[in-house]
Amino acid sequence: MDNALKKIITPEVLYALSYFFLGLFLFFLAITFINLFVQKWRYFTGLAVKEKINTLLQKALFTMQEDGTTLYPVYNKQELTLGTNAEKQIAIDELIRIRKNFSGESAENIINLYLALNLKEYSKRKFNSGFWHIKARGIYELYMMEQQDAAREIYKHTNNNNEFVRNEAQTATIHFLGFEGLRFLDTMSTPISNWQQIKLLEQLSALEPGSMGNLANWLNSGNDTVVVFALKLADIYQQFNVYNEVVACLNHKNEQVRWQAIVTLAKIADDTTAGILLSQFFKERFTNKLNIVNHLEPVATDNNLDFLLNVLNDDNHLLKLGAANIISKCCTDGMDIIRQKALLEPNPYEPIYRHIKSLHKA
Amino acid sequence: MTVWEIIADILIYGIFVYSIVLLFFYIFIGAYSIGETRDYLRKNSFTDYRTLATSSNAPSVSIIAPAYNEGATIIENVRSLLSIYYTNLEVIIVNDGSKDDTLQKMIDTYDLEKIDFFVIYQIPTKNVRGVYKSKNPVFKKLVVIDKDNGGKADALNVGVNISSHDYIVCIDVDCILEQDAILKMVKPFLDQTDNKKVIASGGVIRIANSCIIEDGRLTKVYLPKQYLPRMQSLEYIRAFILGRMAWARLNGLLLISGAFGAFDKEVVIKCKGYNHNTVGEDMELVVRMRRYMEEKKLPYKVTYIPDPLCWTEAPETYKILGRQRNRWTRGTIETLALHKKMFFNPRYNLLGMISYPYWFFFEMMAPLIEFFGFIAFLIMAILGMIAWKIFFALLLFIICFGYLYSAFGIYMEVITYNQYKRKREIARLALTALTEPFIFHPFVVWAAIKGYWDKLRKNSNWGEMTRQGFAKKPATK
Repeated sequence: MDNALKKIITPEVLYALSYFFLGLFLFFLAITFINLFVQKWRYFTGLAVKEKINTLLQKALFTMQEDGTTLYPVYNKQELTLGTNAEKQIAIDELIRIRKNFSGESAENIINLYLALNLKEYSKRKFNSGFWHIKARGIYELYMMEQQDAAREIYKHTNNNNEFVRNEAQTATIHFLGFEGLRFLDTMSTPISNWQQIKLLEQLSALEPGSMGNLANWLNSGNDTVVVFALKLADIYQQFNVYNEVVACLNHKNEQVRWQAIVTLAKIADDTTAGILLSQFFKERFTNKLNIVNHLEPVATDNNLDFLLNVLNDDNHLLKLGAANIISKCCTDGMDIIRQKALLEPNPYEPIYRHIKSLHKA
Repeated sequence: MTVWEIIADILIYGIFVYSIVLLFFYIFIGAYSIGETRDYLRKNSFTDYRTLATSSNAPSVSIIAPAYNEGATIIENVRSLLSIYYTNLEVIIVNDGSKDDTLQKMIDTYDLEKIDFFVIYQIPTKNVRGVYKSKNPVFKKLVVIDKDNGGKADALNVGVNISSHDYIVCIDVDCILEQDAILKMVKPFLDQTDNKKVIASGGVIRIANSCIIEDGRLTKVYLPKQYLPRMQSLEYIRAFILGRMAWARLNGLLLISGAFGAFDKEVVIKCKGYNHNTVGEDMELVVRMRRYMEEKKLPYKVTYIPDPLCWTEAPETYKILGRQRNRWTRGTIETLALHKKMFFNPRYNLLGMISYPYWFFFEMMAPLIEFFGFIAFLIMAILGMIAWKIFFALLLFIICFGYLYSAFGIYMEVITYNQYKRKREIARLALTALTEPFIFHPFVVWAAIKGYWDKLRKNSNWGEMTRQGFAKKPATK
């Protein structure tokens, strides 16, 4: 065995491998410096393209005449020539960056410039790419540049297997259709990440609240993330009409769905909510028990004092503190009740009492 | 063949086989990291993080920064943390029984008052003396805790207990975070679409020596002028851009640096927080969280993001660097010893079968093997038993491979998040790499051996880390 190794691993082999490594070392160093050079070249090319775009934009944005009418900017062919794909990409990125800060006629002029530069074709080529990251980028560019005619095609990708393609397609659909665009939830079989949910909610928050006709169906979806998202919509847009469906979500097998249902229920509460939440308390594990206690404030009354006093005596200090907070806020002479408890059992109720007092002061 | 010759052969070829396996691991790590970094760049190329920064639906985050005798820099450090761009944020500074004026300076500068706070010791810790909040609404995100001295792990655990938010970001108080650091760190927790819960997320640490810091913000990046920090810059590039990205892709990460890591608070509490009986509390927590999830058979992920988000000051002297590496070695030994049950234990899947053994053989054992290999070499050289021809060939082979790995690391740095844009800086980095096998690496091995020795002597000292302070732009008159 030893001799066999000696035959294979000879000094000559090791030297040959060393030279190979050394060659690769030099190769990587060389391409590193070439890369630095290319980055620098790209930087200056980028600056030139940006300057060109900004010159064209000045034409596009400042076309208002003294009488208030607008002149459609006229560009010459040479102005509108962008050579490489890299230049086109820089131009699109710059237009999108500027587009984010404008609305109305100015935004339209930016979009017109995008069309005049024939960049839509470039974005559409990307949209039709088989690579997910290129496709997603194409969708992003098309909706940022308000290309409504692509809406139908983009919509087809709202349930795409690739997360990033479908995320962009969903964002684009809301961008084009507003609340109406939420109809993609009807058939969603793929999950919606929390990040995407936040993104969509932020996008919707900038719009006038619109129809959510299928909300009840979404709350019954077999896709748990659709249910969670629908619960958030019901919460934010105070959808009292789906109260029963939200209550039904308390029996959902997914703990996260139940967690969100508790939060939503507290926001669209009626006279029956306190009772429903209190009975749910006994079915839940610790996380949701605490969630219920922390969301009782809008619904708890003196009628719930017995329950709250029971929780105040729970072994878990977080539940104790939560219950003390609700008693102090929702029950008649709540602070006195906690103070009496603190006098009877200073440990741990004395610091809890002082903590609650401090919260009230703040 | 004599007995001595047989022993010599075993040693030579044993070390050689060990090196070959390690070499293949390095090749695998280098190649595998490319995919993870590429995917990350693609996924985030048009992500608008501002959505998260301003959204009321964004998860709440508590930054926890322990401070011990940081009086000289605490005000600037806290200012830096308060300027971070995130809405649902709480900045918790834990004064770990400092003997200097750390607390008083914060009270005076941030207009703090002691509030009545019911501390729930979900994780057992030393006594909390007081919780302070600012009377000035500008600093409403700030919570300062004063506690009895108990060490970094204990201070972090107090922060976890006091924290009122869903996610915690544990950092060293003197680190400089990028403005969007929290946004980027939180996103992996929100990105999950499978049923794998993200329990922790790490971020890249960069060396800030020689960089310009203004008002607690990094304004100009330079490659460190001093040799040791520059060498560590290269070391960090290799470790973070190659090593940790590859392990993250495998879902086999065992370490998230204590200087900057984000965690799911619920899982941290269930695991009883940081272990204050080890000097490697950062690694130990990640290993314990993973072990907990494996034992409960809960699907999970530990992620890593390659953006340079956190900047820290690296040791500039051999003395301080030696203490740091000594501590890292003891931390690794302690962590692996605490979780030895997982060693090649199929019950722990990839964690037990690959991650743990890798750390055991190639992180923990490597300095020992190198050191005893060197001793054996000396003895054999004296006894005239060295086959010099193959010795030099082997030496050259290993050195050249090290150079190649460094060059690849530098290349990956340049094509991804290139922080050093000047050709001269890249050239200096490459030249520094050439010296590594002769200066830096032997020293690090020696520091690790001292770590082993200290561990044997049951020395559990943290090892004082004196910092020089960041370079500041001179004030204009």
